[in-house]
Amino acid sequence: MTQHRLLIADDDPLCLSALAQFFAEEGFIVEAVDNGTAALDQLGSESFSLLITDLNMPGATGLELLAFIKKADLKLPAFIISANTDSEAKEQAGAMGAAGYIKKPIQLDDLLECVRNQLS
Amino acid sequence: MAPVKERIPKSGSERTTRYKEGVLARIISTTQDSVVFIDSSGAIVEFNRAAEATFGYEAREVLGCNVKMLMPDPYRKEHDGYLENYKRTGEARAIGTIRTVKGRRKSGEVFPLELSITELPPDSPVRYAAFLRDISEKSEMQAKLLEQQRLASLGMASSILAHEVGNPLNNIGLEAQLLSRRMKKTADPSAARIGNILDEIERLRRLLDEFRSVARVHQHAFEPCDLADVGDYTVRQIEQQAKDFRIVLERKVEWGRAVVQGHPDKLRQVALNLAKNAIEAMPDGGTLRLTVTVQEDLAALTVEDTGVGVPEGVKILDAFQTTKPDCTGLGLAIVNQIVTSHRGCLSWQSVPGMGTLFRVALPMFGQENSA
Repeated sequence: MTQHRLLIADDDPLCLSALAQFFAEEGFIVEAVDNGTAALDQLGSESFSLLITDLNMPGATGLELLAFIKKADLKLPAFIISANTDSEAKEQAGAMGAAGYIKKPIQLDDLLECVRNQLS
Repeated sequence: MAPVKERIPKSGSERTTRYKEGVLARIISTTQDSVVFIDSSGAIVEFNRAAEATFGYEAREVLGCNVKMLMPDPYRKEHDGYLENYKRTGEARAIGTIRTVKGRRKSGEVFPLELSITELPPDSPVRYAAFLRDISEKSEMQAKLLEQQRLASLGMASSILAHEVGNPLNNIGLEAQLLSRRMKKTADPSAARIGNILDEIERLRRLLDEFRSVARVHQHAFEPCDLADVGDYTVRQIEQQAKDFRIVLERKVEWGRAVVQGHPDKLRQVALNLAKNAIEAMPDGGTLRLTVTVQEDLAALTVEDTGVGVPEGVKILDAFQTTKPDCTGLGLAIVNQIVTSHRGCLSWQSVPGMGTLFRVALPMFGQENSA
């Protein structure tokens, strides 16, 4: 079975480490970054199967990462996670090609199912 | 019959006095403010046209009657006492100020009015002159404005809270889920404890969702919606639950008529919330009646139950007011906010032990600006 590479970006260190550990335990190869700039660097230089990114981060926001993916034509599915649930951000993420918008608090099993469905 | 010859005033001062009286009488008769004069016993001796329009009585119906007929309780019962007290002590409560008090129309309707009273000498046929202004419309507008401001600040506070609590709650939840997974793998007996933490997190998550719902209310996009669809959706959603609680569902809707400008999901949320409250009010069964009707420019959806009713004194539309131990008391505040944002009005009546009726009245499609 091919191991999928995930890029996870969140400026909240606890959330980032929990997500990284969880997906590593589920057999994914995880690259974890805590800001938007580092995420853009990774997206520009490495190849991933999927991106999970926070909406608001220093350096670049989740929406900016989506814009980069679109512009660079990376064909990379991306999930936005956020405690901000105003419909504008959600609609914007959808319009910019996000595969899903997941609100915090995150249910890990639900997120895993979304990710697996996306990759299958 | 020969015309009555008018008496010609003899002196200049008499002419002036008559002129003044004439002007005064005209002012009293034509002013938009209600003018009511009483004698020292409280009997009405003057009741102008504006007072007739305001109170709904003709002057002949009230002249000679005690002025307390224009007041609701407790003023009605206490007014003789006020007069007596003033005569005895000279302590004025109403004279010399403009006060907001309540009046009572012929129809029984009680309404707010501004009142100023002028006192005349004790030997004068008019002892007290009252000038009154009906301020119902102003009061209603002020109340609406206050309600909107209150809801807007609740929305803002909810938005901040949802975000600030959402992040740490997320972290607690993630850690607990990871711990729970590990403990389950090793069959650790403490896994149940983690389960309790996760249950509590789930409770907080639901609370947060309610706050988010408050914060989101002002963001809907409107479209024409048939309230009959909203009612039909609600009945389908609660059918099973109603059956489980031995509740008879009665539905009376008029299709295609009660069309309003609104957000379909939000209106469904309103109806569903009211219907669920109704079911919770009938733990031992009963009847839930959902009605959609049209009355002139208003489309109305009513949800009526035969349940426990609302205890007196509970302001159930205010946030955090609840009679149920497991509820946040945000449900009806959100319903009210959604209805208000649709330029509608949420009203309710309840008799403890008999049941409760909620009515959502919304301006008909195309009538929103006149509501």
